[in-house]
Amino acid sequence: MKHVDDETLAMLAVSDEVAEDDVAEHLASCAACRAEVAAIQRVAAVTRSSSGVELTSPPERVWDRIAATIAATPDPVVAPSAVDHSAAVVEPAAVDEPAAVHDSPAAVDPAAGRAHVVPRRRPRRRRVVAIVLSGVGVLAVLLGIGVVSGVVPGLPSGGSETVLASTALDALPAWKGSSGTAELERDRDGRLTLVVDLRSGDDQPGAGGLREVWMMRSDLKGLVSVGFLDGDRGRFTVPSGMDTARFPVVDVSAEADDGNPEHSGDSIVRGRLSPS
Amino acid sequence: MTTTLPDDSELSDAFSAGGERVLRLVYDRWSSLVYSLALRALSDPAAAEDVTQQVFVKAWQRSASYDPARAPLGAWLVGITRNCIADALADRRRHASAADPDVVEETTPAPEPSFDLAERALVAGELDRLEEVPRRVMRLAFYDDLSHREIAERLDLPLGTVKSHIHRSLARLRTRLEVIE
Repeated sequence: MKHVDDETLAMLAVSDEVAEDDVAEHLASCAACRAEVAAIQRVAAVTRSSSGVELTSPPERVWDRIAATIAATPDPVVAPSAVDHSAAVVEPAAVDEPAAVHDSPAAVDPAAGRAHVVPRRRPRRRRVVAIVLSGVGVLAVLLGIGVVSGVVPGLPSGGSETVLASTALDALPAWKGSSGTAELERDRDGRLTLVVDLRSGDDQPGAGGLREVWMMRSDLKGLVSVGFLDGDRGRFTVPSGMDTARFPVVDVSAEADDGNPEHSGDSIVRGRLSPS
Repeated sequence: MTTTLPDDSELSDAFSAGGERVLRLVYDRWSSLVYSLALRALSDPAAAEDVTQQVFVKAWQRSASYDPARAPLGAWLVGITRNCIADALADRRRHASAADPDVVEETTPAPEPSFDLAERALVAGELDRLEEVPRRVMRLAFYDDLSHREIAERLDLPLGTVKSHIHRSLARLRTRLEVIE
């Protein structure tokens, strides 16, 4: 059965609007939509109670102490090269640094003290490398799929993948006329792929912007981005560690090209995978 | 006014890339929240200052592992704040029990109220950072308790626009709260 759209749920949650008969009927039988109303009501309650929250700023000396602690933290990237150059120049600095740390004992708790030793530049680089590598991995997987599904003649193109679940994607009110389908496929190696087809409405000629594909929990409170749609059809590798049963809702959102990784809140179509 | 404030998501991205100047911006944005939570839980300005300092030093040390895609920066900082407050309370309990075992019960305050403050303060901060029109709509709806129709008349907006601002703003607030719960 079709779920109630977000805006209607929000209005039911925060105003005294009465649900239309079909909406009321759906709500009576759908725990996911009722949970959604409850979640919005909770946010609304916190919002109401946020009126008049007064925060106290800490005295400026707190920042001075933070700045001093940070300045006293050895920088692992600079320190070794300094040692190479001249022992005479380095010695005072080497003595200064630990002393500065001990100067403000209140500043450093035991856990933070330990962390001082940890180089803080290196992990960042490793992370970049990891991202680049995972990008290569995804690319390789996509190329692999391309090979399996079409380029190499003689290989079964349809038979190698099993459709585990599928759904129609229904338009949200702001995107009337849009529709689509989503299928969750498993290939012979056990790899999961989400295939999304989107058909834009007549009044929404794919204008600018990006379209991002998400898998969400039934209560829409948790979500994972699986990628961006290029054109109207996309195949997205589902991370192998992901429990797709926990994220059965497929959602395509309109996203601004602004670098904000969060869901824009502007969903175009949505549907819930069911076993096929 | 709000246009001069750095956008939270920009701040999150810049923070994950590291740098001390960014830490100062992050401090400007969230130090009063961190300090107020600590002050509320510990009832001791000096201890609250120590916690505030610990939180931002830790945040700086861990900035490389901070992932903006996984948690809003404000919620992440509130998480660190909770840990530091818990440590401070545990410390205090240890000292109290060493001095006088009878005091232990009394000096074990429930930290819950400060977490509620965390949510309220995060929401208040988010509201301040909405665009002008949605901000006015949200304040009239939730602070002044006007109906959607009254807001539409007051601001001379179509009713549908008012509803859509409320729906979108609530969705946005919800993403900022998610990790706190």
